[in-house]
Amino acid sequence: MSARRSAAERLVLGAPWAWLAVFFLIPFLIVVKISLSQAALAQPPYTPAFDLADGWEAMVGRLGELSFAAYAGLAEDWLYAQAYLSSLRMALISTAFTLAVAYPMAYAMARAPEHLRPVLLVLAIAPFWTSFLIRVYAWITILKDEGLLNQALLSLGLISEPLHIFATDGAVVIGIVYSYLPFMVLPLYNAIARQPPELREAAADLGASPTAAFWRITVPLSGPGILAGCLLVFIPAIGEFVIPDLLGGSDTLMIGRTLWVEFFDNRDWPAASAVAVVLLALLVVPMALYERSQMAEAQP
Amino acid sequence: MSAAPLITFEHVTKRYGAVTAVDDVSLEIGAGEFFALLGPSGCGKTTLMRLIAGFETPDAGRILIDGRDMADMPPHARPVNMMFQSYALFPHMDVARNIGFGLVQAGQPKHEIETRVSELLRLVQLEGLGARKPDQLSGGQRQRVALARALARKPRLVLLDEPLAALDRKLREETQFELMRLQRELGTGFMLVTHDQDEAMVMAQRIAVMRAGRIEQLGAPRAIYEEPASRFVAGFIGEVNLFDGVIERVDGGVSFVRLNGLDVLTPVAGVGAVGESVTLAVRPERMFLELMHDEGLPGVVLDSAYRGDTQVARVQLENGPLVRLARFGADAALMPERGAKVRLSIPPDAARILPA
Repeated sequence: MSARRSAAERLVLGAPWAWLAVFFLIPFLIVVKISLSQAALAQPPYTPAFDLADGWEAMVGRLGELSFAAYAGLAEDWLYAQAYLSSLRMALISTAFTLAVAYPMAYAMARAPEHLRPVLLVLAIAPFWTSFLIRVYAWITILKDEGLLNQALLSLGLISEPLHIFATDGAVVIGIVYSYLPFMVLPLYNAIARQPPELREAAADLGASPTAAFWRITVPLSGPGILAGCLLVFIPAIGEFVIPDLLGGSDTLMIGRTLWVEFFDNRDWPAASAVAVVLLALLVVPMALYERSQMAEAQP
Repeated sequence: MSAAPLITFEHVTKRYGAVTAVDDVSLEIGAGEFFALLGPSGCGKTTLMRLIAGFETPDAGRILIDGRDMADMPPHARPVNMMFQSYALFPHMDVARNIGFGLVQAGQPKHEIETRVSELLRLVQLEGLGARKPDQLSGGQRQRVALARALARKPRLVLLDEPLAALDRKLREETQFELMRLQRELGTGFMLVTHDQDEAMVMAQRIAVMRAGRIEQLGAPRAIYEEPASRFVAGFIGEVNLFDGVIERVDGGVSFVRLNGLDVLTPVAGVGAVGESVTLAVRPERMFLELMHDEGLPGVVLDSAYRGDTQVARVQLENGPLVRLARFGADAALMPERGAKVRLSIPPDAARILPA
C-alpha cells in the first residue's frame, strides 16, 4: 500500500520535471548544439547536422566538428555587447516604470471593498483576452505624430506641436510598461492584500501618519511581491522583440531584434543560437543569486 | 473618581448598517485606573475600545481624552496605545525595532530610543531578545513584545484587546498578575477588553458589563458579583441560581417572595413593590443546606463533582428549578453524595432581588 502510494507520489512529483525536460531542457540543448556548429548553405543551415538515422557512432564522431566560433564572433563584434547593454537598460527602465504604475493600482485593488476585488482582478487581466500583437499595433495609432495622444494634447492646448514619441525608445518603454503591467500588478496585489490590516492600525496607533505607515510597513512587507513582479517583467522585457520592432525606431537596439536579424536575415543559426545562450546565461546568474539570498534568509 | 476623568464618553453611538454596536454610551474612566470592559462577543466592547483608539468614529456623541474632543483627532495623534489581540507585531522588524517603532515616529534621538527600548525589554523580562524576529518568539514572548511596544510612548491609557486569549491557562494566570504589577508600578491607565469574567474580576478595579451596545452595569468586581443589577449580569459573572417569584409582603426592609411552583415564602433583604414579579439570584456557594429534615425546599442530588478547591453539586428541587451548590475548602467534605435527598434554603442576605 505504502509502496504503491510512494510510486504515485513520485509520478506526481516527476511530472513537472518531465515537463521541464521535454519542453525546456531538450530544446535548450538543441540550441546549445546549434550554437556550437558552423553556418552553412544547407538544409539545415549549419554543420555538423546530427541525424539519428546515421547511427550512434557517426554522431559521436561528429562531436569533434563542434566549435566555439559563434561565441568568438559575439566577443569580437562590439555590436552584440551594445545590444545586450541596450536591452538591459531598456528592460531596467521599463521595469522601474511598470513598478511605479503598478504599485498604486495594486494598492487600490487590495484596499478596495472586498466584494469589488474579484471584478478589479478580472479587469486587470482583461487585456489578455485580445491579441497581444493587436494591442501593440493599437499603440501606434495612439503614439504617432498625428495620433490620438498628440491630437488630444494639441486640442487641449498643452502642446503647440506634436511630440515625437512613436519610433523612439520612449515608445518602446511605454509599450513594455503597458504590455507587462498585469505581471507586475498581480504579485503586488497579492503581497499587499495579504497584509493583516491591524499592522497598519498598529502603526497608526504608534504615531505613524498614513504616509509613514505606508513606507515603513506596507512597502517593506510587499518586498517579495515587488521582487517577483520585477523579475516577471524584467526577464521577458530584456528579450522582447515585437514591441521594439513595432514601436521602436530604426536605432532602437535590442537583443531580440539582433536575434531576429541573425536568424532570418543573415540565416546564421549558430550566431543566433549563441546570442540566445548568452542571454539565458546573463539572466540565470542574477536569478540564481536571488534564489540563494532567499534560501539564506529562510534559514538564519 | 477624583479630579478630571481621563476618558469621557458622552452619549456615544456607533452603528454598522442596521446594527447598533455602541448604543448611547456615557462613561468616565479615571487616570491610572485599571478598567475592564466585559461582555460576550458582539456586545460592542471592541467597538468601544476602537472608538477610543480612533479606528472608528462615533455616529453620535463625543469622546474626550483629557478633556479634549477627539472628533478630528486621527489615531496617530491620540495619547493612547493599544495592544492588539493578534499582537500585530511587524514581522519584518526585530523585537527592538518593534518596541522602538513609536519612539522613532515621535522623532526621539537614537540613543534615547536605545535606552528606552532596553528599559522596556527589562520591564517585560525579554532582555537579550532584542535582535530576534517576531516569528522566532514563543506566544508568551510575543505578547510581552506587544505590551512593551504599547507602553513605549508612555501613553495615558493602554488598551488591551483580549490580551490573554492566545495564551495557555497557566501562562494566562501568571500574565494576569504581571499586568497588574506593571499597571501599579507605571501608574498608567489600563483598559482591558475581555469576554472572560475571571480576567476582569482578577485584574480590574472597575468593570463595565456590556450587552447589546449598552453598559448593563458599572462597578467594582465585588459589587458586580454580589449585587448584580440584572439577570444578564448575574448570569454572565460567575454561576448563579435564579428563582422566579412574586413579592407578597414588604416589612421593615425585608421582602417576602412567593417562589413560583414552590410552596414557600422566602424573606429577602431588600425592598420591592408588593405584587411585583421578581427574580431572586443566589450564588451556588450561598445556598444553604438544611440539617433539619423538616425545613427548606426538598430535592435530590443529581450529581456531585470534586474540583480540587471546590465541590460542586446539582440539586433538582421538587416542583422547582435545578439548583447549583458549591462548597469550598473544609466545607467541601460536607457535600451530600449523588442520589441523596436534601433540603435547601435561601438565607435572607444571600438572595438579590432582580427585575424578572
